[in-house]
Amino acid sequence: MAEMLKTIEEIGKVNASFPFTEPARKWKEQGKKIVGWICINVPEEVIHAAGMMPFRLTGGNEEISLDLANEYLFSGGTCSFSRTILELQLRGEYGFLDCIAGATPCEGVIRLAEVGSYYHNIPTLPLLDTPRKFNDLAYKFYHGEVMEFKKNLEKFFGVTITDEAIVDSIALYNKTRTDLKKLHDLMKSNTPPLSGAEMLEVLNAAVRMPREDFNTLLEKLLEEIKTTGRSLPAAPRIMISGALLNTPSFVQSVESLGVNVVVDDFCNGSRYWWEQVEDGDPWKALAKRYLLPKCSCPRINPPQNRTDWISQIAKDFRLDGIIALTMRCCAPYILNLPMWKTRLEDEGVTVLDLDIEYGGGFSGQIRTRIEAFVEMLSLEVEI
Amino acid sequence: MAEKKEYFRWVESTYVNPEMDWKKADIISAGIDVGSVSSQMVVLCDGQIYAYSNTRSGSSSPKSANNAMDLCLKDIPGLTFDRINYLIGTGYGRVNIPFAHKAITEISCHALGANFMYGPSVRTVLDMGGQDCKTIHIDEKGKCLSFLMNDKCAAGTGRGMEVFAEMLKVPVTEIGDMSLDVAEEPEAVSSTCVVFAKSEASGLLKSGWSKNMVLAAYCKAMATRILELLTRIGVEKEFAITGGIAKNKGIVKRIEKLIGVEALIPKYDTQIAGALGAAMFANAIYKKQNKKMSAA
Amino acid sequence: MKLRKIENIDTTMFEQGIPIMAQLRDHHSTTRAETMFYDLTIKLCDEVMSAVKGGRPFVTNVMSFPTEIYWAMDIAGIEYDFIAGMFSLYMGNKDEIFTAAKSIGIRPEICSAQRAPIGWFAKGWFPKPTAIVNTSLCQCDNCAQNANIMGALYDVPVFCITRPYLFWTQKGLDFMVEEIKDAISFLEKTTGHKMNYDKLVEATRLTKKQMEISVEIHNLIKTARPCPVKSGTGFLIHFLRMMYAGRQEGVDYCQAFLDEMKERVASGKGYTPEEKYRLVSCYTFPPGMHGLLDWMETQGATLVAEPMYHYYNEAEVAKIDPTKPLEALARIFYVEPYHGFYGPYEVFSDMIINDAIQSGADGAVNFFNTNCRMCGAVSRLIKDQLRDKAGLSTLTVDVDVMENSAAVEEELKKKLEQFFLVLDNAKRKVA
Repeated sequence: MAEMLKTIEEIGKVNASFPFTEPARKWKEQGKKIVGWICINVPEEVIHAAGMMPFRLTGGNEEISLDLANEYLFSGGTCSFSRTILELQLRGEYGFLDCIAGATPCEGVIRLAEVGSYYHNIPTLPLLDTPRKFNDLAYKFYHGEVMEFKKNLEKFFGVTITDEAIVDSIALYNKTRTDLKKLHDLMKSNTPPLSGAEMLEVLNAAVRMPREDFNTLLEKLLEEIKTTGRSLPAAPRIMISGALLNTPSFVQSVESLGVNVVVDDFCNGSRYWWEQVEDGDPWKALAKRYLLPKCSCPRINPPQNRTDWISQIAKDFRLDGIIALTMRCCAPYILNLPMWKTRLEDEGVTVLDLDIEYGGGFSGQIRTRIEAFVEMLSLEVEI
Repeated sequence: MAEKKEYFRWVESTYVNPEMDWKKADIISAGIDVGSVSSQMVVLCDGQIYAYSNTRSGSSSPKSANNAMDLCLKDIPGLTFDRINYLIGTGYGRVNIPFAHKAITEISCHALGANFMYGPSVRTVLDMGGQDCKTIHIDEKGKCLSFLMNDKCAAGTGRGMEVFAEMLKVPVTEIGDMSLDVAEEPEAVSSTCVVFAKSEASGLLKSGWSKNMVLAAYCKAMATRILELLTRIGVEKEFAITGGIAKNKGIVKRIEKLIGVEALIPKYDTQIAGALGAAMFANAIYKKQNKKMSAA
Repeated sequence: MKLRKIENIDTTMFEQGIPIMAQLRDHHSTTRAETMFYDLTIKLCDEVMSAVKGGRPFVTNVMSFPTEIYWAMDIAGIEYDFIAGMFSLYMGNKDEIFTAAKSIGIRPEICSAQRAPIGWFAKGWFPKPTAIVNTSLCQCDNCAQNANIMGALYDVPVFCITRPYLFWTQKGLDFMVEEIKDAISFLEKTTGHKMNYDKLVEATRLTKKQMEISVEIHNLIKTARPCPVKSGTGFLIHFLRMMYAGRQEGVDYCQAFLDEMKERVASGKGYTPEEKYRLVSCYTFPPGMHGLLDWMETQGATLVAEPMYHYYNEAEVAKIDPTKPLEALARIFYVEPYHGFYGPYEVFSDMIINDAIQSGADGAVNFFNTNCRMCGAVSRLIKDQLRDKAGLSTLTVDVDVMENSAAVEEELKKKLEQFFLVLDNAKRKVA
């Protein structure tokens, strides 16, 4: 096993105290505000430019019981991701948030926002209305939504967001994207510098601390990789795909079976950092970027861009296999998966369709299925 | 007091090929399959089946593995564990077999085992085991190309069959034949869930159904449930069945009827497929390692 | 199995479904409107088969696509979720189609109504359409996406109308108009037929007429005692309106529905001997449970309000201007109460609460669809709101819209019996 990286240890500490992370605590102690956001269609830059710290609502490092949430969101239908967030909200663990910003990407997240705002006491801003396609019409529409979001934030906190501030915030967030891209480019190596589990720690921390500080850590990490020349042994290369995943322990268990998880397509992974905000009118650029035209969310129509994107990732990262984590009741993912699975299989990538709950562990049948999948990739013996 | 009859019992068995001599073998490899209901060990001499055992699983995986080994080796004079070059564990208890060199999933092992047992033309394998069912697509070398597993549930599995045998006081090994001995095929019981099916069955018995009819209704329900797994993976010829339930003609015949494809006739005990595959992997891996060593 | 183009399309199963509609008409219709419903469904299926066999364009759509467009473009069309669901509900092939859907990865947690058509396509049973059009309903992840799978299975082009969540704003309307324009040019390209805008004006005028009658129906339901509408028929009028949007038959149907109600009012007779339990149905009554509805009548239970199907806003209907047909279609889309249930919960919880109060309901039943993430997710919220704002108890049960087995009916009966006791106690307390 390769030596532990100091920066990764530091990053791990940020996540250890989730949800009220140490950096968030310090931020609040300075009397500053934190805005919780739920879906990647919410432009973080706007929150940052308003002087607040954006904080992403997710589940923690392990699966939790959802007894409270199940009272209010129907457990048979609403995905465990939405119910996990509601559970944490109802338990009061998200009490440090000054307000919540959400969007309307899918049924689970929409109803989470509506039901949540009725039963917990964190104010919820009007949802950003997110179209299900991208064309000029959708960009124009979403531009209006982003402007509305700006106004709502300004009104709620009594602040003004200047154009200078938004340009600066965009530059700061683009820097994160550039550096995360650099980090992922290193993962294209046969002997990647990070494990997938470590990468997930990095991605988790990105949205749980002030961005300036995260960017510093990220630079440090890139530097440390360079100076130590850290690399992991070559192994079959896989991507974990899914709605989103926040539990590094799961990735670690997968990797312990003898594979390297070199990339993902998660909402909190590639989809989060892949695309830059372009130059030009900052508000229009934000609207375009946050509809994720290239690496789109599974709910977007038509599904072609997403299929092409995943196929391209598979080539760029020279993937042997993909584990598609199908969170139960995530209709967009379930209905999108068949659209690209066959194509990737035809291109020689083995795809495992694995149903699992958000935050779910690595036990029994799940383990057997993943192990059998890894054997399909690696058990090459002459009989 | 009369001894209580245990209807779920099936005969534990062993086999040794009398025409082979293990002492002449270059490589002795073995596989142990620890399942939730039964455990098996297969010993290969230079890749050929030399001996096997098939026994009930015990209270723990290490114990089950030990039992299978004791039973397998007890009739082979002189052969002890240390002489086995490589041993692979598989099945539900695979990670808890203390003396295994490596663990491989039952999915890969059944794929390879079925390839050996039924020949290279097998493309679809249905493994009906103690606690779950799997369908596996394999290539001509016995490599798994894709697989499906049903949810962990006693329905449509060996465990469910045993529970039913106890309830109806019918030896589990006779269920298949009895279920086929009916004048007319009844409707399937509506639930394959063992708990519900049990109460449904006792209702049917009370209303005057014969045991055979009830068994037919239950076997039909199990076959229908398994059909889903087969339809989902898509049955490609040739089709083979492994695992304990493969011995239940009542289910096999009904599945064949539903899919319109006949399963290949087994030449070996279908329960050893997993351990056989594991032993074959053991043989291959040992050979590969030795080649490397001698090259170095 | 992989998602591959289906090579063998065989419409035998589809054609076998059509006579079943006639059997339903003969066995289950107790009103003239019900008889018309089945006859008109058969007519639509016949139009489809005749187009398919005659090599004329045929388009299939998910619920809430503005089908006025078909009429104005002279295209045969049918709603795939409705017809696949309806057929499978009565043909006993649910297992087969759901296994077929599961084979290509469509799991049972996808709403069965939107999973059934995928199964029909995967089996190759659905007639081959020239194109498929779907919509995001208001927000329904299934409606917005299942057409992609079906398009891939049959190798036919797909277009999705996406609808803003906050649809009643001007911005939402403008967006919709553009989407409808795009849908029309998609259909012009794929079918080779041109849009006849004069015909579209006429079609929107007819839809408006249907909606005006529907407003009258709603007003009569709210005010007349006993309730002049047969329980559970909201489902029928809704789907008929959607299938025959912009067509005279649709107007005639609505009129027949209204006339029959008026006759009931004049005779002073309801459908239940004595209305002991006047209930508002929060979602939809599970289709196909004819026996349960009959039993409820004997118990004196009547669904006096089905807001999902009847709650038209008169002022909004008045704003529909057929001379601007595209904008009119956008408005029609929005005025349809059904769509509100897939939008912000405030919109439809107000509809339910107002309907409950105005129709003098004693209680509420919410038989929501097990796999509906929009309606099911807020079932607790609706229950709490009905309690707080209307003082009503709600029986909440999740039922699969396609699970009409005897066992499910028995279960619902038991739950309703208990609920009636709760309502009796509440009445006694008031007295």
